[in-house]
Amino acid sequence: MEMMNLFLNAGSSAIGLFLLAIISGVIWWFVRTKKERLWLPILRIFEKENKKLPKLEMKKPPILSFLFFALLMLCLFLFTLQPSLKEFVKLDPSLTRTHLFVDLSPSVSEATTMKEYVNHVKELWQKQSQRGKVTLSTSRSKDIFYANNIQELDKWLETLQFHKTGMRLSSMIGQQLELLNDVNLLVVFSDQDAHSWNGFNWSYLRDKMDVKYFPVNFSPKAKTNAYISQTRYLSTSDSKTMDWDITIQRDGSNTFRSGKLIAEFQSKILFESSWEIAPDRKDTTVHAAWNQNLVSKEAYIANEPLNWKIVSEESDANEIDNVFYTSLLGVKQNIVLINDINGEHFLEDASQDINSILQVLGFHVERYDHVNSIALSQSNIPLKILLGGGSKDFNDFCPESFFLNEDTAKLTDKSKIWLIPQNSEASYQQLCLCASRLIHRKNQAWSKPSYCEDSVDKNNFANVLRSIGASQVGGKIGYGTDALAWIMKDKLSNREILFFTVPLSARNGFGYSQLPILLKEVLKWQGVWQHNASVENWVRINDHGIIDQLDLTLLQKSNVPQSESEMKVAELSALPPGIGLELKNAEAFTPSREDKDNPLPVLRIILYIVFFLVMIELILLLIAQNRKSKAFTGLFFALFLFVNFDLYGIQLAGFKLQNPSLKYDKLKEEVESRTSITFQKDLINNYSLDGQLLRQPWMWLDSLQPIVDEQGDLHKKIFYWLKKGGFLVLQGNFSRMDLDRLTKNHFTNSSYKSEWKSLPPDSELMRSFYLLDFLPECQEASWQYLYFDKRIAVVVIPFDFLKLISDHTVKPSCLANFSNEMAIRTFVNILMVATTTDYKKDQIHLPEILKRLR
Amino acid sequence: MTELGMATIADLNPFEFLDLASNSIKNDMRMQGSFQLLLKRPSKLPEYSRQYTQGDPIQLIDWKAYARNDQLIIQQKRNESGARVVIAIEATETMNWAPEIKKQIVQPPKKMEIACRIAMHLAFLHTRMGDYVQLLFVLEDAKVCELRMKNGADVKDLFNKLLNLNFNIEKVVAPSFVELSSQVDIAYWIGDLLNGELYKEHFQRAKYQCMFHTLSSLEMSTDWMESDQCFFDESNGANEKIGKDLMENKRLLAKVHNWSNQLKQECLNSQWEYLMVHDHLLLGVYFQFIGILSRERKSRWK
Repeated sequence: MEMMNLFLNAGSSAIGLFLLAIISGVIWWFVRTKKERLWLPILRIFEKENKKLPKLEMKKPPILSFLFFALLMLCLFLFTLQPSLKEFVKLDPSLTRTHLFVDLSPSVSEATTMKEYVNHVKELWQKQSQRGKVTLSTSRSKDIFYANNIQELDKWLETLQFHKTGMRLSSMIGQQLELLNDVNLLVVFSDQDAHSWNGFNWSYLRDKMDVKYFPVNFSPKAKTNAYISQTRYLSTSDSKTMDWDITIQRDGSNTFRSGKLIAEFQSKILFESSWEIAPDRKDTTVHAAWNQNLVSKEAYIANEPLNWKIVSEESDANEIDNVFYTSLLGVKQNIVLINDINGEHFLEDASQDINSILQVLGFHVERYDHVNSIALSQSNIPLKILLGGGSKDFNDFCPESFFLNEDTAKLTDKSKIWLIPQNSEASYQQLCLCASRLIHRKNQAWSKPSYCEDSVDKNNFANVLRSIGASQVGGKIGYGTDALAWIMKDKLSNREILFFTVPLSARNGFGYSQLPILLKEVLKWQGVWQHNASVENWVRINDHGIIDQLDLTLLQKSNVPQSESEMKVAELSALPPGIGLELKNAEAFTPSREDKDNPLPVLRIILYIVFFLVMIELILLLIAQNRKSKAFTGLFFALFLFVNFDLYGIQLAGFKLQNPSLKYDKLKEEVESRTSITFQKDLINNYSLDGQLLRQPWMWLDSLQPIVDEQGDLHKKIFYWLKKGGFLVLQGNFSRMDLDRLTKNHFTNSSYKSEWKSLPPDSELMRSFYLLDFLPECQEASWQYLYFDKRIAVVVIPFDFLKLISDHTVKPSCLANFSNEMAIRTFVNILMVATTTDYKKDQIHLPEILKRLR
Repeated sequence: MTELGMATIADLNPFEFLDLASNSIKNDMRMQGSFQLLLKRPSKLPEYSRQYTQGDPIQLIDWKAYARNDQLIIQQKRNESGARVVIAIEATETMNWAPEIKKQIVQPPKKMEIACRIAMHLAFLHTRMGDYVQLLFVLEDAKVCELRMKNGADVKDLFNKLLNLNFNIEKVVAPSFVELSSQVDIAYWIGDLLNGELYKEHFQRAKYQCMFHTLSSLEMSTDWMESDQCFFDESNGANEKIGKDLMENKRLLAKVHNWSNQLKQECLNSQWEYLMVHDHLLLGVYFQFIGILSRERKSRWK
């Protein structure tokens, strides 16, 4: 079984595969070694003739197969509904399949009469049967009923009765739905009783069907319910009377309740008393007692229940729970004990212990010295005990009359016999003869069997018993000599004979504590002693849905479960939507929806995939046909990779072109050849602080207007950009006042305090890449800078520097002597400062810098 | 010996001289040297003489011959020497192949034995002719063991040694560095050619080449095989076949036949003489081939 429970997953599959590989390897090895392998060098000429492997060739993708696949999908869509998804669609009302479940549990009887109830069921059946098929079932059994016409329905409805057992909708409806194939609408006729609805997950059924609740509340009888909640038997085994305590409980509204309590046995009233429950009390206990003589022993053996009835003076909600069944307790059974007295004193009486114990256990023991006609005439005696082996003649305790014949078989029907050695000196030979006689049939002549001649002690007796077919009772299995007793059953008469091999006496090793327990257990095992001395109620079956597992006799005598009588109601919100009112207005009720298989969503997805694949296929085909179209391939992949190309180079950002004809091809070449920077010659003209401008590491402007706000201050965005590491180059003639206005707001507080200064000769701009002696200047206007965040953040060039470094170098007259090379070097230095700040401060570079300086 | 008692090449003794009664030997001019004549011999036959052509030195004219037959004959003188003969034996594992045979068949000699017998015989012939004979054992890893055969006694010693050691050449020779002379006149290659084209590596420049393609009779027959036997060769990756497969439609035999034909064709194309040798080859066939070789060689060098 454990093997069956092995769970198959990826890990176990891999291990299994691995083991299989090893096993197959071993088998292969065995087969291989077993086979005689011979080296045959000439075999290598076979290889020499082997054909070469076919050259791997890139074939055109099978676009046709994809097209066929698409065609197949189309066919699937047109001609089949598989695969599909569940989808709710509107139901065709004429095909409604309705199932009516009729709750017949005790609590329903509180709110309706059967006549009313049946009428409502009938009414709904008539309306629903116009729309389709209607099936019915009740809580009484799980059978499904289908009526072809109204007469059949009437006949069926007449048979309906409330039952006393409780009922859970979950198990009952669950079982019935298994028998029903498809149901669109399930209508549950039931009251709001919490017990019935408890655990019924009707929402689960909503995926498959509509569930409606038809509230049964046609004519509520009363708001209170009185019922017997508990019975207790009080008498001891030696009492002469039968005493009971009966608790009557009232649920529902707190009103005064009174009535009579009647105990009835076999239509004979044993007890009758009145009871009442005050409004401030929940229950009352009535003490009931009657003489034992009122109940005959014969009646007791019939195993009939004792009926407790409460007759209420006020109206009661539930009449079904007014009758309560219990077992009749306290009736003493007769046991015949046959024992020859050996002495006068009771201590010498071997049966004294057994006698006392049986009385304590609630039996009436009739003792005889010898088996006589009186002893034999006792019928319906559950047990006869023979203590033998002590008398001279074994006929004293084991007369011939014990022989079985048809008459005696009737008389001793179901009776049990114990054969016990009288004492430790008892003759086992006599016991053996008695045993032989007990199992003998009268229609054959009995003679003393020879096997009893050797039966001189306990062990021999045990062996004899085993040899005649008795079964061992007690002791170790297989050790017959240790057995407490041996048992034989006669199939003809049901006579059960228990042969004890040891005397049952407290003085004989059992002790006063063990012997009663032992005897009680044996009596219990044989079914002679059946009842507990305390409370014994008839069963209360909570769920009628489990009737398959129950004894039917129990079902008939079940009491109403307390939870059905308690009048507890389930919350209305937890119940399915009710249809009682709708029923009056509408002709028939139709469920709103039904599950149907819809293949469209699946097909749609597949078609998308197919389309996508075909497109890829086409593109690949185009590429394969035209190998030169690498750019196209690149573009194709770029579409998927979303590569942002403008991150690859540095642009001269933010420069507003005054002269669009200026080009910077030479500058680009120079910069790229001298440095490792990829320089984009294109200028970003679309000036916008939100755009790509602020993503650039530097910005080159010839006007303040783009970076100032309406008040003329530096724009906040530019300030944050500088803070993040941006480098701003301003070129042109700006007055000191203009520049100060830029810094007055953001660069005056203590943490960011900074001001404009002229560029010193040892500035990093003059040594960041090339070592420059001076910077180009016009009309003695010096370069200004703003030191911020431990670096030069803004540089102001007092002339049009970009014009100077453009392809068509236009030199201002003041810079006539300034060579083009120097201009490019200056630009590279600015670029380096913008991208790396003053990296030469790094000590690692110091020796190299010093070397170059010298 | 064959079943009929005819001598096969497995019985070849190096000292077995060619049958002098055979026409090929009788017709041969002489048996002294295989390459050039060692001794001068007067002859009036025009074998080493030719007609005078204008420009020849006058003193070389055989005036006596002119006097006799009125023809201007020039006598030619030639340098004479023994030939450089190299006899190479493939000393590979495959040459020592000797399977255990279940069926009641006489265990044939190993290919190595056949090869050694042929080599010894050739060596003896050439030493007798006064040639310079070099015996090479080419091992699997292209290493070479060299043995110089000066005269018939050397050949005899070596042959007896090999015979005693059951042609286990490992006990006779040790690998040594051998520089093969580019001036090889006659080259013999004796091997099964199952280990690649070793012969091409060694003797491309010889003036005269001969291939003794040595196979075992077991390789040319499937009678000794059993259908459920498994045969393998793992030299070039695993190759495993069962006897039934090889015997079916004479598959193995057909393969060997095709393969040897192909090899023969290749040899002939590159001026190699070719003879397939196996232990069932009759001695007469071998001698006939040797005779043809000798005649062929002489006619080539005339």
